[in-house]
Amino acid sequence: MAILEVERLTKFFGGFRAVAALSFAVEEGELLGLVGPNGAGKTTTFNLITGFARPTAGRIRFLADDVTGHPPHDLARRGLVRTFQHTTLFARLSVEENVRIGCFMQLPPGLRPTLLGLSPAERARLDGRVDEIVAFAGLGRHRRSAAQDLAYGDQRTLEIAVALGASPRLLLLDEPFAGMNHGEADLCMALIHRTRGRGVTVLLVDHHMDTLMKHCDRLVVMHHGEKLAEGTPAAIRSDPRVIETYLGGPVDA
Amino acid sequence: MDLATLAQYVINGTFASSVYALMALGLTLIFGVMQIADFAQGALYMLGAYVSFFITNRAGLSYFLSLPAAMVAVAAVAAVNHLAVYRPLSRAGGATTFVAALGIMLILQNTALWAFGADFRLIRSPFGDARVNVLGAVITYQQLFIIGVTGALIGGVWLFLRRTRPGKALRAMSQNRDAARLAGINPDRTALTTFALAGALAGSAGALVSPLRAFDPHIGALAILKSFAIVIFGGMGSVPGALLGAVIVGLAETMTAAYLAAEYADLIAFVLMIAVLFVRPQGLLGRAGGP
Amino acid sequence: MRRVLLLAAAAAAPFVFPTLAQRNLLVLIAINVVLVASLDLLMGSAGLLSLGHAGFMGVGAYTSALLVIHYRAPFLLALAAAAIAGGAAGFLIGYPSLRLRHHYFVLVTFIFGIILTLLFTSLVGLTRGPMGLPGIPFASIGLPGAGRYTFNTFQSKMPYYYLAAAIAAAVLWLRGRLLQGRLGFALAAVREEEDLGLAVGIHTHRYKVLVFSISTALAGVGGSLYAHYTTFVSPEVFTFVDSFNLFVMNMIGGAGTPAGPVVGPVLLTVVRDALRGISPVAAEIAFGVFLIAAIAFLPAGLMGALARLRAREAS
Repeated sequence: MAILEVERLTKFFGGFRAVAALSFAVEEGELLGLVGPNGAGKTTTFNLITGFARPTAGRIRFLADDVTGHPPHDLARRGLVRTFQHTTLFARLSVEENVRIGCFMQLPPGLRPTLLGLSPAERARLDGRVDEIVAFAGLGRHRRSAAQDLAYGDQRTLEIAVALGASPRLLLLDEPFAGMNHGEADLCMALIHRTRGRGVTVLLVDHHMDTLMKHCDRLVVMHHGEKLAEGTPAAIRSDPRVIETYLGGPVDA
Repeated sequence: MDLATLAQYVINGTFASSVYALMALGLTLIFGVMQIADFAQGALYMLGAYVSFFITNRAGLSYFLSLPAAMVAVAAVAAVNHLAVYRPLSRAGGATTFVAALGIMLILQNTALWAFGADFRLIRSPFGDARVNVLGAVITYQQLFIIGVTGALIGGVWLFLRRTRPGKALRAMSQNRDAARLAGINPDRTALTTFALAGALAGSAGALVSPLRAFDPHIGALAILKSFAIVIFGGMGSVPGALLGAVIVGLAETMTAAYLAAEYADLIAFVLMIAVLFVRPQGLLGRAGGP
Repeated sequence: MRRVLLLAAAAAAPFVFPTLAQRNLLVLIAINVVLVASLDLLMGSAGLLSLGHAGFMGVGAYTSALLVIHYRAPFLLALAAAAIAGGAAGFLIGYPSLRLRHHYFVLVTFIFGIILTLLFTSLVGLTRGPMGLPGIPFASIGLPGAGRYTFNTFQSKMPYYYLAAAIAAAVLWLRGRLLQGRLGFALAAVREEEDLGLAVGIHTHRYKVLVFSISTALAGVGGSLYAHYTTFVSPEVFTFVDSFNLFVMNMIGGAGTPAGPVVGPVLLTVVRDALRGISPVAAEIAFGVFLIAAIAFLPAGLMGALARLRAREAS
């Protein structure tokens, strides 16, 4: 079953067409890669899906509901959670505090918990959840460090941990490996695979074709705001249009 | 409403606009170059009035001499403000420079209170009560003089910005700070020029209205608040925006006083500004993106 | 422990400072603590700046004063009404303007502060305009079984000081609790990285409007306390300069630090009064110099600077 369906999504900035009639679907449980060179419209697509920008035309359906133009917090409440291309954290707060704010939606509702603080039991439940996620992400050693003091790879890991706090059904990761060295990227990829083990569907954006080929179940290739091809890594690798316009020649894996 | 009454309102409105235009022009130039909302300009306006007062009423010299004197003296004070306060604080930016500006205003206002006393002053106009009739409306020579000088000063600033090297540097800084620096423009010197120019404009505004409106050391506050509203209304950093804003606010105030109630006239500038902030946050003629 | 010490110090203060002038300052400090704590909910907790807080204080002051003058409302009811009026004004202004980008929001608060002051001046039928409202009745509270007690602040400042200090303590307690719940989490997200807050499901605008309304409601409480203390209010007490004063007290004390909303008002109220004792004009000039020096040397405020110093020693 498709968890996310994008239909003829289009975005104009003034006269510039950033995304053009893009359609694709993300199946429940899969790891889908959205790939294309810089300027292909990947991040714009991402912002449209996650409610940070409004599409000019087209529809977005999440879990069968039409969510086109819904604000980001509403999408997050439905289970669609994103990370950002440039490291985006609560920089001055500790790792623990970052994840705790990520767990915001798990806080009990009502006037008293909103205005007068959590009861000891509620607090303990929250702390347990935070501990679990921090350990899951392998950030236990740094739990009291400020986010801004972490190594770059740990910061990007923390971004995923914060997103996990929001209990996503679908997690959208915007270039999580950008700027990482090989070791860091491998660790991050391992975390993404473990995240799938929690029943989270993942949509991954990157411009490194080879990384995505290696790890994703399926790929959507974008070029100039349009969809160039869609399919398994093997199918993409042999797609003549991809080879012609993007890979610039036959690929040997 | 008959034509004469309307003409009278338009004349009164134009007169009000010209004072606002001079203040708003300086404010918007400083904002463009430095991203500072320089509240101290209100105190500079007040100083201009006092310089003019001392030269005409105390030293017995010509009012026409007091105008350039006020411009030079106030420009010097503005330059000192920049060198002593804004330049050292330039890295702090935003709200903190706003506080510094209030600090300067308190210092100048109270120094004036201490030096000149709290009495209201008025300068004798060199034109006396001479007036002309235009379409049945009355306009005094002093008002005509103010409108004329304002026009000349705005023209002068326009020429300065378009034709001279420092003027072009000022515009370049206001459009793109980093690019201007790369092009070899000295940001500190340009900022100093901007402050001196804005000071001269505020000083001229003070000297110009001093024969028409009684003043004390506190007059700067409302003047600067309204100019500030005008600058936001027109678009922060935009010169045409400041001028257009001044004209609209000057006329709107006069009309409000005439048709609604005099006590609401002071409100109109702020109401217009709020309205524009919600509809078009960058101001009437401001660039999108803005501060 | 620290709280107990603070309460003990507040309770002992009028005995340590027994003169009328000193106790007058103590009352003003207590009122300023209410106002600065309300402002700090915005500045310290959410990173939102309000430069119009004196206007909301004025809304509370006039509401409370007029209710007691015209309808003989009991003080506690008038105080509650002042909070509601301040909060309602904050809600009406905050709801649209908190959608604006931060710089513009600051401008809007600043301008609304001025508009409120101008309204106090122009709504002559209600506020008597620039002449001000004289003869505001003293606060009076009915005590069960003991009749009514009237806080005659002309005879003695002490009872009113305890009333104001108790309300200040309650506001400080509330401020602490507010930051522990959902609201506190949401505000931390707004302050540090609003987009990330949105991405993890925080309806940030709702919480910003909520905290702004709470903050302006508390400013209204401060205004009511002020009105029934001096028994006279006029537009001149609620100008943009007064808003700046609150902002500066908050900044000097240290926005977002636990003790900041107490340290700032104590320090600035005392310093300004001492300077005024020498000469009112010199006091204002010195205050101007002080403002410039403060942002040049203490941008994070006194408590912020102390915290950094302690952090440096610890590491």
